[in-house]
Amino acid sequence: MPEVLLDVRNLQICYETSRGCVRAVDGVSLEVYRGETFCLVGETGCGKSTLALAIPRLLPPNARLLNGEIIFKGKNLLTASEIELQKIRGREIAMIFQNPMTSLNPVHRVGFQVAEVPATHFRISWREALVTAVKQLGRVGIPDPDLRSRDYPHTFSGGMKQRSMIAMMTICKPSLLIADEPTTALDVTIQAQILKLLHELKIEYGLTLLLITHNFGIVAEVCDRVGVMYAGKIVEVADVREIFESPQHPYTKGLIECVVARRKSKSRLNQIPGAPPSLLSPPSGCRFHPRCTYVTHKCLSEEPRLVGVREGHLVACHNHERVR
Amino acid sequence: MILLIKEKIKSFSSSEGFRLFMRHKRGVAGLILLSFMLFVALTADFIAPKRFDEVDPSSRLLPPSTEHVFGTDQLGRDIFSRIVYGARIALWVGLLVVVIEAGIGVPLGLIAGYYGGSVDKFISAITDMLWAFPPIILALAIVTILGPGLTNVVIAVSIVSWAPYTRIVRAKTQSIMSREFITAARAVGESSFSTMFRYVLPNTLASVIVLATLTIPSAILYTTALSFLGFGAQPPTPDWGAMLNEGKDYIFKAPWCSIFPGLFITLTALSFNLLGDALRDVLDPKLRLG
Repeated sequence: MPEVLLDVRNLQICYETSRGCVRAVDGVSLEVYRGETFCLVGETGCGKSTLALAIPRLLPPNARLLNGEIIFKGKNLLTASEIELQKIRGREIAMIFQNPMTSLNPVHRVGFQVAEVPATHFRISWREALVTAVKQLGRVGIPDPDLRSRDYPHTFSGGMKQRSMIAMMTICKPSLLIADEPTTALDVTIQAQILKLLHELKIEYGLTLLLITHNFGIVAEVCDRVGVMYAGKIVEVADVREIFESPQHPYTKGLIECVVARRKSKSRLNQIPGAPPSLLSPPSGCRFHPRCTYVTHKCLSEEPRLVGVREGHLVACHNHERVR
Repeated sequence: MILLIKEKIKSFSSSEGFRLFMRHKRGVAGLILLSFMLFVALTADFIAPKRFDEVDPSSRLLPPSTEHVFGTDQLGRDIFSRIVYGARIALWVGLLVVVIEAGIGVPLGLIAGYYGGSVDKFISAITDMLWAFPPIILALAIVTILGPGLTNVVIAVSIVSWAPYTRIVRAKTQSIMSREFITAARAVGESSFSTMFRYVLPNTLASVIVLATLTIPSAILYTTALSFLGFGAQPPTPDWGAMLNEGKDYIFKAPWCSIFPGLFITLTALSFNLLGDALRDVLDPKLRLG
């Protein structure tokens, strides 16, 4: 049995808005094992990013943690003090964001920003920090790192900015790297390079990767295990192979069918009918029932729980036996 | 070393900001006027033909002539020399007031914008209250408590006019806080203090610089106004406001006693305003036309 690095238990997060409480994450439990790549998949607005931000406790001020525990290396992060969290962030848990264009500070040189990280976490001189920063920038594939580290972010391309972000976030060799849609804002060839880089660094540093994406192509390529989220809940967790070969939840099945394959004819793309529900007032029972083709009376009234269907394969659906 | 400086000057003079500024005719005029004032203030000891407090009872209230370019005042002091020395006081006071104002206003704005919530409400309430007072009345009240004198005037003017800095920095901070690089800074383990001063503050500096050049003239005007009312620099200090005050009694008999100090107050305020406008145009890309 592999060691559990991150254990999220029954996490509930809501955003306070003028129209009421939006439950972005509603009772999520998941385990991430040391050394694996865990993918969190789901539509826009299903709470993936909220969950990701909650782990290093970086939620915006209008978010409220209602319930749950986030246990990282045996320590509950939800009860940790701000000082303890500052020591963990960047050193133990690092995070890469969706948009590299805005995640670097425009008024500081790139080398400065990367060097800041070891300088805050280790007792080293600024000169040493800069040297490691340049080395790390070279490692992530910035050409001429010595020269380019003295440039400002606006002179970097999108891919190079994301590489710099990765350098910044991996320079302290953290145990857990959370990547929130790291390639969404980049074009396809760069996507592949960035994913390859993340995979290499994962092996080199022994990182555990929590990858958040809505792209099943990426899931198939880099993941070990997959968690599927819908409307603030986890609906299915399984090995990557299992997910593609025998998805048990109608939503997972629908998502996989939506993947654009190369087709000969100009057939219409598959889609899941309807739209994700409003999290202000989610549907009763199973949250997926208004869009589900397998819907029964039970789905309208009773909320399905995550149950194991096979070793390491959990699903939350009343009718999973019928899903083929 | 000299080569390095040359290189820096070269790269600066070919930068886009510099070119934009040079195209701004009024800005260049302001800069020239201000440089002239600075030159006068720095070299006062060489330019002034007389000492500022040199009294000559035999030549009282003389009109401008070749010997006394701007004439003499009621005590026979050379007005030109007094104005030249007065430039030092005016510029120094303007600079000092702005530094103190920014020193109070900028951190408050950063804190209000960074923490939000009740901290923000508290700071904003104080700022709004201050904003609602007529500044010169409040400054008068403070000087009355502290007693007359140039230092006290500087303190009073700074206390009444830091509110714009807080407002602007707070608004800027709020908009920067929603940017991803702030979350990224916190994600690598930066403390709140470090995030505020090393990540947010540099992003607000352009606005602060523009605001500073635009508030120097009002700082100079307020301090000279208080000196004019007799609360500021005490005789024989050659403060322009105090000179206006002394000259007003002879305004029909010897108008030069008040015309020249007034003219220099106007020119100095004008030069900063022109420069400030130009800097705003150059530093804020959103306002750039075409």
